[in-house]
Amino acid sequence: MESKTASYLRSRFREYYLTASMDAPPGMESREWGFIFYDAPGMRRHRSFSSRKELVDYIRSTVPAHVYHSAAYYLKPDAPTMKEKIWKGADLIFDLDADHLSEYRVSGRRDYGEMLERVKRETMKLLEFLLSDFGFDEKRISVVFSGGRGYHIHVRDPSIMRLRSDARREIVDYLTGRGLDIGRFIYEIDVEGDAGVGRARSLRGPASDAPGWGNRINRAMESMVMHLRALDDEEAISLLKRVDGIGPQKAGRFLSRIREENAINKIRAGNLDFFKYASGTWKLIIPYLMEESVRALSGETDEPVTADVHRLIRFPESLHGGTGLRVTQLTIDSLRAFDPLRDAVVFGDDPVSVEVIRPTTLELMGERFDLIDGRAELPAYAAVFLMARGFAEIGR
Amino acid sequence: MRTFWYPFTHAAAEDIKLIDAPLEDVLRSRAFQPVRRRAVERVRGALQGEIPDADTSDTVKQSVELLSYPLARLIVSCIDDDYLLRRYVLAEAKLAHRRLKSSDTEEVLEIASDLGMGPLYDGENFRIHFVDFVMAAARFRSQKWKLINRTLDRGYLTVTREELLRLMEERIKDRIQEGLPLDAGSICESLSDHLKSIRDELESSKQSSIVDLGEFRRDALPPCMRSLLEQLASGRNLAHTARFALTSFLLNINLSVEEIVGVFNNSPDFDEEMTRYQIEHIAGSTGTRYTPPSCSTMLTYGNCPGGDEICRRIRHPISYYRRRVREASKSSTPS
Repeated sequence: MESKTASYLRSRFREYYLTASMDAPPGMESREWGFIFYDAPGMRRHRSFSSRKELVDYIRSTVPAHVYHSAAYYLKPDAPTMKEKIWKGADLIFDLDADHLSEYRVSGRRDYGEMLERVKRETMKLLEFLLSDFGFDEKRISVVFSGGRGYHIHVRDPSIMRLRSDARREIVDYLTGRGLDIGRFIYEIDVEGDAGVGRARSLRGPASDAPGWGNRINRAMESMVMHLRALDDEEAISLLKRVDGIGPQKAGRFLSRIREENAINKIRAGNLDFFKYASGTWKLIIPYLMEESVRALSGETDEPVTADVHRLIRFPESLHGGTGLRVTQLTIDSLRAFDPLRDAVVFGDDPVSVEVIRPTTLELMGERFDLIDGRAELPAYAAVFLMARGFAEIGR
Repeated sequence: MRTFWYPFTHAAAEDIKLIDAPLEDVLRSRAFQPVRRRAVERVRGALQGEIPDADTSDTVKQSVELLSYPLARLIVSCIDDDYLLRRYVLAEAKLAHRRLKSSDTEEVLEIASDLGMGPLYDGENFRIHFVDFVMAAARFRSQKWKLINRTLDRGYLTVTREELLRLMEERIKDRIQEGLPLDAGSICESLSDHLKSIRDELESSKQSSIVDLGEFRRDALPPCMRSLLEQLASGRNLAHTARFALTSFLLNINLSVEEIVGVFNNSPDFDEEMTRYQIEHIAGSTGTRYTPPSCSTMLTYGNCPGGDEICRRIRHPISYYRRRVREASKSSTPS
């Protein structure tokens, strides 16, 4: 970035910071703060502020490109090493970033808006886990658009503050389905045989009203069966044959079972006997299905961020120096309707002339811009975005 | 709550304050000799693997039991040795666990709440908050302790009584660990006679915990395995990858499962049954016999302390061992 572009961005950022509300996070005086500037290398960290006013004055006078605070609370947040800071506890943080979504990890170019929409859906899925399985109070959860490629969730419940890394990793494992022991959910029980004579084995699974993962597994089974039932025999059989050890004959028998009228009701009740009767090979399907459904249902989250109890995270309501978008504080309710490419835009539409250095396509505020190299006049919000991303320099 | 059985609780700390026992007297007076004897017994017991039960049949004996705990903590602090400290904390927690097993539900709940846990009793099992579960369970290795394998509903899950006691044992460890070593200062001088005998015992305990590996040649071990054995001998817990590496290596050079169980019994969280189960698993009880990791894998997991001359010529810890054994037998055979 040319220095005149850097100083232009700084002046626009200053404009924003002079009026931005910038509510400080709870316990701000116990947190470590870090700043990155357009015109200086590295991060200035290990800073602390004793009041919101002191913090706001600092931001207004230095105008950083990026502002971060620690998820952790320290006795001495400004000490130069973690050991000397003396850790007191930390918020539980989840970082959902398009980079961590498997489908975006490999593909190259992608549509920014669609990608953000996809991460938003993951975020809502994760929130559902936090509210229903973990029972966190909605008031203790804050959702933040990162200003870049995703969302952050901050859980500030006193119960989790003191959790160490290993325990936080357990929470991530729960969310991602890692280490799931299918035998705990799908198992055989002894039942009385017919007319109370002898004993028989019955295959059981979680019922639809089971809490936590049980319910999700049940839904996955139900949707698999619904899906297979909707296909014609040939398609359904070829799908089933993909499971190791299942041939056309077994697939056919299985299919006729699940086409029975009460199959769905039985699954909902957790009674899987119809999976079993056509010989034990049906059990081949279950682990396969489980693996698939765990992958599909698990919230995706960046484990290192959640497990790192010293992590710095973007300060909500600051600007993201790589996009010029606002790191936007949301509630669970406002997330659904939130459109980052409109609602996180803070600059106006006064015309700014720029020099585009890499051709690109951009959609912001409902406007689409197809840009080629060279001079262009753009509304300020688009100009700032492109310069911050390194696609343009300020024009003369 | 019988605070004399659970001297690490806040309730016990309150009771101790009520006993008329100035530190000076506890340290010197003849009347407090039983307290000093029991305190030493606690520390010695920890070194030997178990703190013996005490007679608490009357109120005097109960006070002795109660007062011996803070004194034992002072003794451990005066000696200030990591190995002793770990053993002591573990042994106190195990003692508490034994006692919890014979406590009734009411007492168990009282102690849990003193430890900051709030289990709810449902007549058979207990409902606990997931935080109380993961704080301890994250340290355990078996699958049943993973949160994902529990039914988590609105923040709560069910554990059996036995599981609750195991979780409490971890919390108790943390509680006992808190503040250790204490700043005992000049108090240590008054304890010097006791300290001397414990120090001697500590040394011989460390010596004997250097594992007897029988037939095979200790000096032929590669540096990585030697280092893992030394870590075990000093009472340190090995990472999962390190346990696996050591176990599969020892199996490969033909140590028996029993011999390897003996190697691990110095581990601070030694659980004989679990250890045997794991070793048998690696030995191939399920059909797969595992080979030990190569030098590069050892390096990746941080289990290679840096090689010596021979390491440069081999790629596998087993090759190192074979080469050394071969060399040794050559040089000892007259030519």
